[in-house]
Amino acid sequence: MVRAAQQGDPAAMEDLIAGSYRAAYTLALRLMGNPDDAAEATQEAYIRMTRGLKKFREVGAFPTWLFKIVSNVCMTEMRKRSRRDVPTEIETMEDPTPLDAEDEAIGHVFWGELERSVQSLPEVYRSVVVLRDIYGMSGEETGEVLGISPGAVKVRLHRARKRLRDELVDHFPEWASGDDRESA
Amino acid sequence: MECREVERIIWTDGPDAVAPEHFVECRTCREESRRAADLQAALTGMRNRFALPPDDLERMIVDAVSRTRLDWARDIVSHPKFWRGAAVGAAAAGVATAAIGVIAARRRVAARPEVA
Repeated sequence: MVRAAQQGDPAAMEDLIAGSYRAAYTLALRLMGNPDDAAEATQEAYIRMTRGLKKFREVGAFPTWLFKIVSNVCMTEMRKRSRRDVPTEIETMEDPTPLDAEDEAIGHVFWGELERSVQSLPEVYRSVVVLRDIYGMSGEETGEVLGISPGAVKVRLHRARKRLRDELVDHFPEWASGDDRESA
Repeated sequence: MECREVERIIWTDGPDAVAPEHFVECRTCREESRRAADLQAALTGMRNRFALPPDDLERMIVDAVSRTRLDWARDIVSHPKFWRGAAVGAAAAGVATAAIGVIAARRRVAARPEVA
């Protein structure tokens, strides 16, 4: 599909967009925290992707490449304008894995809380957690996108994870004490 | 290794970066390691959870991308380099055609039987 899109096949390009735009939009939303900004950044990212597609060689690494473009667009935009802090619509996050009703109820609370905790991190910490922990970029790649050294990525990551831990411990004391495991 | 150092490593490089012997003897660090591993797994799982995008986003992206491709093609065609290249190409093609014509004509002349 990527190869066909590279050769200018419009149907392949539409398929490529259809198969990836939700993930791209979700990443933008997690970084920017605002649905309108995220939609705008996603469009801009696809325009840049189209311009660079001919020169793109590692076809298998398309999602990683797209995520990097989205992250770069978002970070550039966020540096340009002061961030409008509209909370992310957590309840619109969907889990593709079907669960039974009880698991779904527990999962909904957990994922909702986790998403809220990530969103409530200061931007310097949130961006590192989103890129490194959620989207699996390396320390070098994360540093490149954010314009900081891998060492600084490490420091921010440490602080961000500890903040998340503290948030989750407050909301799920049984998780903190490990009681849920003992009784399981 | 001290617990404070172990805790720093757990939250920076992950629980796997700590020598497992420490966890055998220290319950506190073992628990902290479990929490770090849980959190790491949950964060990784977030990658597969998608937000609902605006209804018209896909269409807007497709339109924007199509416009970009058209603009790109127009930019190429309207750039002086393109026409310079086209002119050079046409001239080269003309020269090549003429050369082939000359060669073919010479061969034809050479192949013609001499008239006494």
